Amino acid sequence: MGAADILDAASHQGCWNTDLGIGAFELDDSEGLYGLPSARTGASWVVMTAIQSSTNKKFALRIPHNYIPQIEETLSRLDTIAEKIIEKKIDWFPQYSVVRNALTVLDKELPVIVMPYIEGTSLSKYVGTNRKNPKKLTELCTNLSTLEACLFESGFDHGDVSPGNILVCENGDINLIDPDSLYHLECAVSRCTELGHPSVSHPCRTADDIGPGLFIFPLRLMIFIIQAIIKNPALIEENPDPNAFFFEESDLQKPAKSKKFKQIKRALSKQQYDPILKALANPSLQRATEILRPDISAVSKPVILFHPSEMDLTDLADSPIKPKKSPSTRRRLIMTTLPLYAEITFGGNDDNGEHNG
Amino acid sequence: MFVIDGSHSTGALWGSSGELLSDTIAHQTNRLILDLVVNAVFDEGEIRDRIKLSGYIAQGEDVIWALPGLEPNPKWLDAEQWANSGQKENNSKTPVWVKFEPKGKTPLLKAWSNAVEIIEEFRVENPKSGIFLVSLTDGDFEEIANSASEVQINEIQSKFNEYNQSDNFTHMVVHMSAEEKTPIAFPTTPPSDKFSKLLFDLSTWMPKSEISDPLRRAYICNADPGLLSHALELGSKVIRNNSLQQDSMPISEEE
Repeated sequence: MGAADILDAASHQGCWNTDLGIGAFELDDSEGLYGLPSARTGASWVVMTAIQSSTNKKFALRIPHNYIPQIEETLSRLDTIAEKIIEKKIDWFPQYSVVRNALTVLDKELPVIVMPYIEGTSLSKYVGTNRKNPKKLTELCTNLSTLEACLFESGFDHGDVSPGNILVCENGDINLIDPDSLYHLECAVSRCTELGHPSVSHPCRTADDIGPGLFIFPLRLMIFIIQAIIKNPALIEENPDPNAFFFEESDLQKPAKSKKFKQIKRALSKQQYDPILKALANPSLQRATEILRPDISAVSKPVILFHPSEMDLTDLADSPIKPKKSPSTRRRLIMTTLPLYAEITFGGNDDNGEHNG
Repeated sequence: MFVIDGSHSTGALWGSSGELLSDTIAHQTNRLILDLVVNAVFDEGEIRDRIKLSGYIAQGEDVIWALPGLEPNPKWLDAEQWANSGQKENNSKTPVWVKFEPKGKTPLLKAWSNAVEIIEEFRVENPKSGIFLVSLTDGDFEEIANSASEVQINEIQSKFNEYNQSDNFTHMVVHMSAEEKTPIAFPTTPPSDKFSKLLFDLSTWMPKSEISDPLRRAYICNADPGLLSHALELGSKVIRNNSLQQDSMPISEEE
């Protein structure tokens, strides 16, 4: 079964077996090729846009086009994660529901994940479009760091943080997508079903790396790239391919031989550049992740650190600071509760490489 | 890159199904190309030039350009060119890129020699790109073996093996049998009979990954339509360990 089979079936009303919880809908085909519905396709899932007939509200429908090992286990995990998103009042990931046996494709009944459609552009496109706008890119770096803190705080992990799985809204707000790669500490997995995107994933990552903290390396790498683009917009095209945002797999495997790393080195200070290189040089993802964590032993003043291994943040339960809908609130969250962390992560350096955090 | 056997023998019916081998080959190839469009190159409403495509039909005495339009130079198409060139015909659900009428002999060795020349040129221009060559044949092995000298076969095999060393070239040979013979899928060792072994030798090892541990040959012998469809999916999507097992591949121990 290919993605085209799914698009073909989805465009026939008779192939839908059950109500998706959104009533009658039509599939958006405004950007589709050959009369097929518009779609985004990943390694395992094809995503279409449904327009609810009664409201014109858009929903994203995710349907597997690839074999999903232990499908019922996967769907149960997705159900649990969906409940966690509601319970933790997550605002950086859309709420969703899993509808089993919803669509029949070539005599197989497939599940559909239904979620609100996020109006946004991929991180790669956003960075390309705004490559000469340091203010917007700086804000994006801040929001990515905030997202990292939100993931820590809520006990979530994401195994496929990549330029295509981060959507940036018009107001700069960012959303992660791809629930298949979303994990929570309370529903552990024994092996990951994906290794992340090779353009941002640590080259030594294996399916046995189950976190916590899978999101740290790719998020930091993207921040690292964007910081360099702020200094030198010519590093990136206006419309980069989300599958080849900046680095290729070979760059991350052999940074010393990479022309792109040389370009970045010229744009960044040693303090910005070295941690990523040290993390890349480490053959263990877990230890690479440790390198990118803030050094809590150096903390001499009271500070709450959202640490992947210390994610039972019951102390924060009474905290007045909760992730809210606005990105500025998220920013306050990290700036207020993580002063040192913020300094280390994105306090940044001036052109002379001195801390200004 | 496709090399498709378009010989007269592909005009046979699949067992009692009433469908011609040639129709199935063309249909499955067109589905694969459409999946490549959807899965691999069409992203955020734009066609990304992530995959170049080339295709030839070996038929009669000739090796003919298989995709719409005239044979280009260089002999492959950018994604923008091939993704947009499918034709909707007779209300067909799948756009048509490849179609042929079965006729004549099977100059597969000539087609593979042609493929070697194209791959040589492609590797110079795109040194970091992987290459996936798919050969689809109902293989009249006698004819293939008798049509060329051992030297020619050895030359082609040696080139394919050389490219395969770098692990970014795969030649998958899918042999189809209309006679419903027992299939062999992704074997680890050569089959015993001479002609099955010839195609085994002309295929390459699968890329090193979980799916090919131990190393397996990118070769299917006596495929039926379902197995052909499975095999072609390998070219258009990420295949996970055991992912082929689910759908009753006839060889129970195969992944």
